[in-house]
Amino acid sequence: MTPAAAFIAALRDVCKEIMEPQRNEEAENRYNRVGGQLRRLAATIGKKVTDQETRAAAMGVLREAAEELRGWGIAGRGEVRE
Amino acid sequence: MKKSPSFFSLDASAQAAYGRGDLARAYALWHESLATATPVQRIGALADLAKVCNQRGKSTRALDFIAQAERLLPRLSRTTDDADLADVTHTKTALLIESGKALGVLGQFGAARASLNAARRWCERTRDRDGVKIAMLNLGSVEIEAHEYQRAIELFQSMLPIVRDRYDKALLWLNLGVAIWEQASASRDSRKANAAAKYWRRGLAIARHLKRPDVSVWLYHNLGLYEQHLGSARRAIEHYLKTIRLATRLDNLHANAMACSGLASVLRRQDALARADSAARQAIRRFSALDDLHGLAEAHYVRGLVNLDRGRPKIAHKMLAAALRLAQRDLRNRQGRYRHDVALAQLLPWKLALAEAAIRLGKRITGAILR
Repeated sequence: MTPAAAFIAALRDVCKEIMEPQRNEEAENRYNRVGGQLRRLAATIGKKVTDQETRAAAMGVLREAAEELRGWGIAGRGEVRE
Repeated sequence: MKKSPSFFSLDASAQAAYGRGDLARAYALWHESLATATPVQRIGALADLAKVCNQRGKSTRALDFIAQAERLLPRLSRTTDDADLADVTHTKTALLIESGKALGVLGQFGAARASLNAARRWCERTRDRDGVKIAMLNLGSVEIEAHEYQRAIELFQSMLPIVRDRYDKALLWLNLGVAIWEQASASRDSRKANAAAKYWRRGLAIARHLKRPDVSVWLYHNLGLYEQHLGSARRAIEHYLKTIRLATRLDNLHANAMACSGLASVLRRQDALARADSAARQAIRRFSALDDLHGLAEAHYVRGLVNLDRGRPKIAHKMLAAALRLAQRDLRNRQGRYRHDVALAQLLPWKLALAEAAIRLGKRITGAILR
């Protein structure tokens, strides 16, 4: 495994750990705790990782994790009419 | 010289077009009828135009028509003709309801609640039981939009004993399912999501039996969303395709756009990237004709991700930058809907995706992008 691939794999594990408890967490804590940690990670990667490809892949991993913060999609309520 | 058609013939043709779901034609005919309408007729036609605009997702335009009608209403209240008064009663209900709907979509929840509560009280006073039901269903819808899910669920449940008509029941199952779905989504509760799907299936059985595609179209969409959540791509795609077919037939641009966006998202997960891109492009085109900024932002976001996956960072960056701009504008428009932390959480994946596209394009990213 190349160092870049190892870094991405480790980052995936970190994200998994960050996201895991959110299932049982109040929405407010979830947004603050998880959102904050992901943003800090992104800022660190932006500063410390110099290889463009690895940086882009790392942002992709964080984005996938952050997507779990969002809801499950907006349902359509239909048109209530006479 | 050719005689121009009378208000009555235009109105009758518009009603017929509306009845068969041809909203574009109904809009054109009611608009044309304004030229020959008396003040009473004019208010009715304006209410109908607002109704069509709401159905086509053009909430701001709907409010314009309502404002024009309201300017004429005081003149009308001085009328002594009984038939006119009956018309006014009905039209006033329609204006209050359409106004509540449009305000709710635009995120002005206080005003939307006030308008719909006024409609409910007015209908109770005039013993219009159908009007009461419609006002309550729309009020529940506004509560969902305002993220007051429990309030919406209680309101819909309180309607169960008074709703006898099967069409109303189908609508009620649809909306009760939505309120439960949104609550499930916020609390990550899969059991509640299953309960929502149960109500949607019940609603779909009734709507199909009654041959009411205007209700089925949303139920298919929502069941597609549920299957997508369960990870059942094949079923999700089937439901979204059914939604698109029905919505195209009904000229329901909103359901069409939402289903295209959902379809693009599922196809992307299936690595069917060319089809996903095409579906996302269609979603963008359809949302562009509507007032749904959130939907438009979402469609741009999906297309951005698809193009990231396709190795096309330039298009991806353009789409994701547009998505973020639109989502931020949507949040600004919906003041009070999101707390700051929620807004940040909602926008974080969009910002990270934009950062990814920027890096792939060789651009420098700054801390500001993540703030």
